[in-house]
Amino acid sequence: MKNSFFFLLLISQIGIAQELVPFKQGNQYGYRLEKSIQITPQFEYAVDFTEGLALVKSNGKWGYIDKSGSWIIQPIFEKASPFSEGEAFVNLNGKIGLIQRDGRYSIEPKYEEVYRTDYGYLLKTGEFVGAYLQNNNKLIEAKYKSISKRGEFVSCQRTDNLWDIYKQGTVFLEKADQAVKAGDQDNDLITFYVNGKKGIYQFDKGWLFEPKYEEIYKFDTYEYTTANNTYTYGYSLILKTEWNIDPDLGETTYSQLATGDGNLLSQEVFDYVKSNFAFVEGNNACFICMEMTSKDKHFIVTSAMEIKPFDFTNLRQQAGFVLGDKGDFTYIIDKDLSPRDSFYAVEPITFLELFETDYGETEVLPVIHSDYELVWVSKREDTKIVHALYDLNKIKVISDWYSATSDLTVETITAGNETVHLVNNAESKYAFYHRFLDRIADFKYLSVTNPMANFLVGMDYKTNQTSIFSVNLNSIEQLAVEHKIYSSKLLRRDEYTDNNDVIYHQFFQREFMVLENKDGKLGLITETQKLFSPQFDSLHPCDANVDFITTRLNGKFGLIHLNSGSQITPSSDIPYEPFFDDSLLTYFVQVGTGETAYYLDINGRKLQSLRPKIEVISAKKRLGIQTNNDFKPAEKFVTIPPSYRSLIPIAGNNFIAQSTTKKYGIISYLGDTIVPFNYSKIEFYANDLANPSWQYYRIFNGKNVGIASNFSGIIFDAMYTSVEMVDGTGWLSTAFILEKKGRFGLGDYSGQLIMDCIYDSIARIHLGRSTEYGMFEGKIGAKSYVQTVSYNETGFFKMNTSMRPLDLIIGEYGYIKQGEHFEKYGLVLNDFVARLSSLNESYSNGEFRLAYKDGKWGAIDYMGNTLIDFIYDNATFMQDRSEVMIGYENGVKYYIYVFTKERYTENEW
Amino acid sequence: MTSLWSLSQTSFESTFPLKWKTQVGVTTYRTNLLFHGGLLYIGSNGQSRESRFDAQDGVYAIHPKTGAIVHHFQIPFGGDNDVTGIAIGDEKLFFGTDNYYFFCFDLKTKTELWKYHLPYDVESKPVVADFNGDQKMDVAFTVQSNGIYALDGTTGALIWNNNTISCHEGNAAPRLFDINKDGVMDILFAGRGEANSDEINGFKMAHYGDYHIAVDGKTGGYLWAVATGAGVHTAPFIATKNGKTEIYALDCYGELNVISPEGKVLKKANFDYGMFSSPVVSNDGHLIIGNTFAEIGPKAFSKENDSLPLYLNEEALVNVIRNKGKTSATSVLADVLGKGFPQVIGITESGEIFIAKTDGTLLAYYFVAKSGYEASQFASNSHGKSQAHLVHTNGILTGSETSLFVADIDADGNLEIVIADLNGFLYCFDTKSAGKVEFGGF
Repeated sequence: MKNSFFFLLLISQIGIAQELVPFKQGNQYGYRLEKSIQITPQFEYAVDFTEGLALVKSNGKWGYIDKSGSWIIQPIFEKASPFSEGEAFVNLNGKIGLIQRDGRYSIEPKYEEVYRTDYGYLLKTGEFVGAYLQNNNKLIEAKYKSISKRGEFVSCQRTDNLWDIYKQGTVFLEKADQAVKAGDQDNDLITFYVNGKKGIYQFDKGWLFEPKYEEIYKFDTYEYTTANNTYTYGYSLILKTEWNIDPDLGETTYSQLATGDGNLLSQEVFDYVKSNFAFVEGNNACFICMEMTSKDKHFIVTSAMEIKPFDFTNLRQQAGFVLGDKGDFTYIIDKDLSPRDSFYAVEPITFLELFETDYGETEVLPVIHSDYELVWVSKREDTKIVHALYDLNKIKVISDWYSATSDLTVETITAGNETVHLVNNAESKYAFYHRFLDRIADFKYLSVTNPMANFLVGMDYKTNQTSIFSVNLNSIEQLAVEHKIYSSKLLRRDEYTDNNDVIYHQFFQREFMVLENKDGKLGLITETQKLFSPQFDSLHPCDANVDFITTRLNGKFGLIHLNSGSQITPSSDIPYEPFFDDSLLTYFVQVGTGETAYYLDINGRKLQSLRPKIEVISAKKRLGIQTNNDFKPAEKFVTIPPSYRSLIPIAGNNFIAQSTTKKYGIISYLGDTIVPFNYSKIEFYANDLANPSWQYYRIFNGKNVGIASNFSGIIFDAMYTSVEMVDGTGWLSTAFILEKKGRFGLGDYSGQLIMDCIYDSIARIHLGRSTEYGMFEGKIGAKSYVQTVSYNETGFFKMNTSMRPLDLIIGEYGYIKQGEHFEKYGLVLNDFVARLSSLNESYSNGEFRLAYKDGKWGAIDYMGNTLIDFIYDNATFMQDRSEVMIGYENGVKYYIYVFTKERYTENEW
Repeated sequence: MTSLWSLSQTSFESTFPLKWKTQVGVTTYRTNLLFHGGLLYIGSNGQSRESRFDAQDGVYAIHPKTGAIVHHFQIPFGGDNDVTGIAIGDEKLFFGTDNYYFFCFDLKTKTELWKYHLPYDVESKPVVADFNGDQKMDVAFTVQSNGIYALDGTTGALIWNNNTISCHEGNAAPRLFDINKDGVMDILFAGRGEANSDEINGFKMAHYGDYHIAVDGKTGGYLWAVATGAGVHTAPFIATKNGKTEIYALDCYGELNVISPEGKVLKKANFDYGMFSSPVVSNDGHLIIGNTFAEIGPKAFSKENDSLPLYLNEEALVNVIRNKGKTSATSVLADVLGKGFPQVIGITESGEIFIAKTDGTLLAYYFVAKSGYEASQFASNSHGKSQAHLVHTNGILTGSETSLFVADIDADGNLEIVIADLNGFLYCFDTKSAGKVEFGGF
């Protein structure tokens, strides 16, 4: 055993590189090659050879020898390290340095401490530090208080607390105000401050703007091209800012403008009262147009980065237009800077809106809507000032001229999902102004109401007739003029109780308007805008089915289907009751008879029998199916010959059948295979949540289970431990939680796997508000993943998946643990956890939302578009400033205008 | 939900008075304390892990009653001489450094006996056993980015070296167990080799090439390897009960494999990410991973199919003490409260100390760092249900990555709690308990 051990020891030694190794003999060290002494023991201590040299101690000092034992570096050091990467640390007279193999110093031994850093070494002597930059083999003298590295720059803090900035080992900027830090770099542009002045350095190219500016703003423009490149931004270089004595004037800024490649647009220094604004196209600001004055001349910078003379002052934005003053007049200036009409004054429209205060009270407040295209314009008429409404979109006056703006009030309502302005003149008559259309009705309506979503009803004050307007995105159509209008709404409520909250699903909601003409005849407009002109003696909701209205004319009964607008004209002595059978077709029974009268479609056409008579037949202990025709009862035919061990009828004229191989499947009465015969058992599970005639069946293969339906066959095959049906969206959308190997996943009713079976648990997040989507939370360990789903006709549409930095999710809100309780943190919404406002309990500040993504904060608009990139470690809203967010980046606090992206430090703010 | 507020209004020091403190330098979650021959031993990364001539590097021998440094074992030459884990056998001190060396010192004479040059750092503690049959203790250890070594404890000569797999970052400390029952201790450790899959599993690769490995103590040859989903920074725990042994091996993404001595995966479970605390199995059948507690009795694992291991099922209660700070230190099991049963004692990097039952029920909670903070605990089983609450106090420490050390080190009949703090000091706190220690230190 022992011999084999030595053999193994020998085996393990073979193949090792032949190297001198130090050994101790008595009190001295030498070197040997295996057992052969190569260097006689003579050293107080010896270290292994590295890079051809060995560190040894002799007479109390350290030096380096080669493999012949010769001194390559004399033993003069109090302490030293072995060579690594061509260098070794040495301590000479108590000072540390770095020596090379030829004895030359990379770092002279004059440092008390040396620390490894990401750029090389930090060298400390006394209270000062320097650096050795390994990449450049450059030494930074130890005369600084601290050193940091960011990107390619090494910032060294001087004793006067200014900073020397090194680039590739060489000072390129002295006495900078601060070290280079995160946030200073924008791609290859780095911001520096010297003597309080700001400059921008373009890496490898030099100064884009030397540090001589009070501030440098980057502003967005349309795309434009310079000699070298194409840009969508320019720079405003602020030389100085002065506050005017007249506080109304604010500050005057002296600046120059430059293109994206740093070229000045003009040598002239412009002084202007800053008035930055943007033309807005869609939801995105696309450029800034600045007004400037210099030596009493007015200029403007266009989106194409051209400076143009411009005579108008006091530029301000109204909707997609700019207003500018010249002389006594205010001009409406188009996007191409062309002045259009001019008026004595132009004032935005003020609407009255209801607000709910923090205490739940309702308050009416005037609100100026900057994004509405209606404004007041004024002109002089003789000695009076008169006012009218002006449509900026149409660039024209759209009302009469009135002596006071109070003579005309403007209200807004929403119809057809669009805004309609109601303008009421001094005589209390209404006109309609659709957001995208011209005036569509004159001032002749005493009242205007919006009884149904897509309709307006106005009563003509002269004729007492009522006009009905159908309102859509691009049209308002007058449907009818009648004597009276009634509106009605039918509801069928399905109560759905979950989690102690009672949520009512207005699943079958039908709206319609009843019309009455001067003769008392009644008509109907359905919500699908199908018009039945007044012709009926009476209308009555059908008791059996709220989708129908029973009509009566001259004693005869008919039926109108609200969904489709189809009708059975009044022709029956007995009212109809509509029913749906298992095959989803409508048939009608005349009230009181209790028997099927006949099949009619909604247009009153009689149909062939749609209700086959199905019989199970047997022969030789096997079962089959025969059917017949209701109208020709004598005619029977076999659809399935007797070949099954069992046939169990289920919904939809289908059967669970057991084949001769004792396997189960599902077939139709016509013999079509809906579920193949692969299963050891099939049992009824549940009806579909929304459509009771759809049924789900569990299919088993041994212990494994899957799910199938009578209408679509196999949804998930039998390969799961369990399958459980849940409501996917809260709107009766069937989904399934699938369990496999102790892990859970989510699938929809069409067989699509929405969430893989990898979660410890899956549960639906109960949203406390009506949405078109649902959310599921999957947990793995302590981590939460949220999957958003929405429903369409073919299945579920998978939306975003994300990981939440939350301790708990309840409903639509996420919570974090704070002490003894959970604190509401934000709204769980797709990719973001939108931070709650400190102003109130909403998740927004009215203008934007704060959102958290991948560990950083940013801002988003209501559509989820990113306004401010996710770069902030923390963020809050700013009180009383609805367009500003406060962000913290690397410990620096910034005030950020979320729509223009300008940001200011505390000092600058 | 039980509130422990009233129980834990007192500070840590009023319950466990400070006996002494002494400066030893920087320590990590891979640092271990040993109590041998009446002295405490601990390895140190010195004043700074980055310093190249750090006078505080080395191993400290400390008097348990006074905290006085009895001896400072130092490396005679310069460089990055940070020391992390240590082992003692045959009155010899064994340890590796970040300077590519492994050392052996004589505890009595305090002199260096031998050193062995390595291709890279030694980041975890070594293990000692007789591997070559000479009736003397030898030493085995892992080397970062390289293999596993076994050296003769007396001469420092190489017994064997298996370099066919990388020990990756070398953070996973090896353990000893006679797997092949040949009378020689074999070594369990972790390494990284070829990935066995290029599939993606969720947000990560299904396999990066990490394995829990057992090698023959005699030859260094493979006995078995079990794939795991991520890098391993923990030491396995070998639990033997009723004659049956199970090896609990954990990777840093929380994948737990319970392996038989023959290398068969018996059970699996998944815990939270960022696992640097080594698993500990209590005698009463609980698994403790830092601040995570799991029931692992017979009913806790379910069988899926014949060919697959058991999985931790949803009935198994998993508790997590959700501290503010990260728990990297391996928790220990000892009766420091004198209650007659062992408690789990853990510490976080932010200075929270928790004392709990083995099922995670919080008994006491202290904040021993300087700035005030309220922490919380809540338990969550697979259904995500929680119970919560917390305590607060001020203290003098910073926090720790290093596992606490509990033993009666000063022979006063009561246990002491020794804490290697991130501020570079070693603290010794007294208990009033003469209770037993089930697992006293990493």
